[in-house]
Amino acid sequence: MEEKKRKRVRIRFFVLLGLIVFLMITSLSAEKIIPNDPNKTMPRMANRVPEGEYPFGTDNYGRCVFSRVMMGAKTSIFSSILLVLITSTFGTLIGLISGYYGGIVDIILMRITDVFLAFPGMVLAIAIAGVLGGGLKNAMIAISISGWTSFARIARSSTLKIKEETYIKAAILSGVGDKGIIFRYILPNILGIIVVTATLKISSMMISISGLSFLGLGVQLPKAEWGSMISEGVRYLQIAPWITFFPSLIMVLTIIIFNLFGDTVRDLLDPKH
Amino acid sequence: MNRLKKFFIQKCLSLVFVFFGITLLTFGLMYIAPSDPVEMYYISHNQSLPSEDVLAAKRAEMGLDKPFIQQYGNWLLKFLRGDMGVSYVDSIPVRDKIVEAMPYTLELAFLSLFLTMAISIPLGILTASKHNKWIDYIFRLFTFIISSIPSFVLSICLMFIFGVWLKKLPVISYGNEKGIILPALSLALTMSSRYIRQIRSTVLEELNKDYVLGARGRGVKESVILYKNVLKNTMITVVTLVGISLGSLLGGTAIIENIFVWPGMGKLALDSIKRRDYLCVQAFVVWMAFIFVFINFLTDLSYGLLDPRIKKSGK
Repeated sequence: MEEKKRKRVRIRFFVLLGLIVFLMITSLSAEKIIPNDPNKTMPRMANRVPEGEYPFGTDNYGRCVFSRVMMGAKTSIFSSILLVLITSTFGTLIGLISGYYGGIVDIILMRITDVFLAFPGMVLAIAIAGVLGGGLKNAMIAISISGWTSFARIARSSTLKIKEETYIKAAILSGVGDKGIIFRYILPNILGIIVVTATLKISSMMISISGLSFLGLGVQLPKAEWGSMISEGVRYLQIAPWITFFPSLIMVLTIIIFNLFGDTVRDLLDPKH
Repeated sequence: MNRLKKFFIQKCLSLVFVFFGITLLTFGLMYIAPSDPVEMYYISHNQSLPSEDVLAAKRAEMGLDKPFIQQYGNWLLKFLRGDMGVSYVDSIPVRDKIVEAMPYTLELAFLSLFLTMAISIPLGILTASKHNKWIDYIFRLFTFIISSIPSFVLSICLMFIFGVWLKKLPVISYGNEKGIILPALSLALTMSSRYIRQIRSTVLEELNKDYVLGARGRGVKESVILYKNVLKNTMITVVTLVGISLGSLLGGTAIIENIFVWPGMGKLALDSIKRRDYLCVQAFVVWMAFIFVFINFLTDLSYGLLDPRIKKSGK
C-alpha cells in the first residue's frame, strides 16, 4: 500500500516536472514560435476578437495578445525561479549561521529577521520598488529584500534540531572546523526541507512579480509581462475582456502547475507531513 | 501567573526592538532613495532649479546635510510626537493624509477578515464532517484553484462578473455605499481558501480525539459535539490563521485598493510613489508595519486566554 502510494507520487512528480520543463522550453523559444511581433502596434487592428491569426485576440494597440502572453512567460517563470534561488540561498545561510553559532550571533540575526518579518506582505516590496523606480531588476531586488526571512527561520530551526545529533557532536570532537560541520554535515540534512519550501515558494514569487508589474512598479511597458498586461487590459474589460482574460488564465494555470509540483516535491521528500 | 507576566514583558521588549528596527529600516530606505527632496520640492512647485548654493542652503534648513544618525533621530522624535513631516510635493502634512486614509484600510481589512470567518468556519466544519464525500472533494478542488489565483486577478474576475456582466455592484468603490463589497470579497475569498483547508484538517484531527469518542459513546448528538466542543477547540487554529494571514491581508489591501480606487493607505502609497512623495511612502510603510506587529502581538497574547494549557506553562 505504502509502496504503491510512493510510486504514484513519483509518477506525479515526473509528469509535473515534464510539464514545467515543457513550459520553460516553450517560453525560452517563444520568439521563434509566436505568430506576430509582440510589440508591433497596429491601431487598425485594435481590440480584435480572438480568431485565426490572433488566437487570443488583439489589445488596444492592435498587438497580438497570444504573442505577448508567450513572451511574458519567460519573464515570469525565470525571474521567479531566480528569486527563489537568491532568497533561499541567502536565507538558508543566515539560518545556518544563526542556528549553529547560537548565543549573541543568533540573537542579533534573529532580531534582524524579526524586523524584516514585521512588514506585512507586499508592503515593503511596494515601497522599495517604488523608491528605486520601476524595472524588473528593481522589482526583483525589492522582493528579495522582503522574501528571505522564511528561509532563515526554517533553516535555523532545522539546524537547531540537527545540532543535537550525536554525529555532529562526534564531528566537533574529532576537530572538524565550523565551516566543515555547517556545509558538510548540517546543510545536506536540512536541504530537503529547504528544497520543499523553495519549490512551494516559486508560485508566490510569480504572484509578487506580476503584482508589482500590475501596480506599474515592475516590468516596464512595452515589454510584455502578465501582470502589466492585465493592468493594461482592465481598462478595456467591457469592450475587450480577452486582453485581460488570456494572460490571467495562463498565469493561473502556470501557478497551479507550480503549486502542484511543490506539493508533490513535499510528498516525495517529506512524507511525514 | 508569574510566567505569564514574564512572557508579557519579553513580548513587550521585543516589540520595542522591532519598532526601532522598522523605523530605522524605513528611514534608511528613503535616505538612499535616488531623488533629492529639495530638487523634488522645486520641480513639483513648477519652479526652475535655483543655483547650487540656494539648494545647499535649503538642504541645511531642512536638516538634510546632517549625518544619517542625527537625521534619523530627529525624524524619529518628530514621528513619536505624531509629526510625520510636510509633503514636499503638495505641502500637506503627511499626518493628515494618513489620518484620512487609515480608517478606509482598517475598515476594508476588518470587513474582509469578518467575511473570511463567515465563509470559512462553517465550510471548514462542513467539509470535515463530510470527509471524503463528494461535497468535500468539490470544496477541496475549489479552494485549491482559488488559492492559485493572485488576489488582483481574482478581484478582476469579480469585477467582471458583478460589475460588467451582471451590472449589480459598482466597479469603482470610492463614494459608493456598496463599493466596499467587491474589494472585501476579493480579499476574503483568497484568505478563505487557506482557512477552509486548515480548519478542515483541525476539525478532522479533533474529531478523532478521545473526548469526541467518549461523547459519542454517551449518546451526545453529533451536531452538539461539532458546534459545542470541536468548534471551541478550533478557535485556536483560527487565531493562529489570523496571525499568519494578517500580513498578506494588509499587503493585499495595498493592491486591491488601487484596483477598486478605494481611498486607503495602499492607494495613498501608490499615488505618492508616482509623485515621488517619499515622506508619505515612508509613513505608509511604518504605519502598516505598526498595525501588523501590534495585531500580531494581540494574537500572541490571546493564545494564553484561549488555551488553558499555555496559560499554565506560560510558554
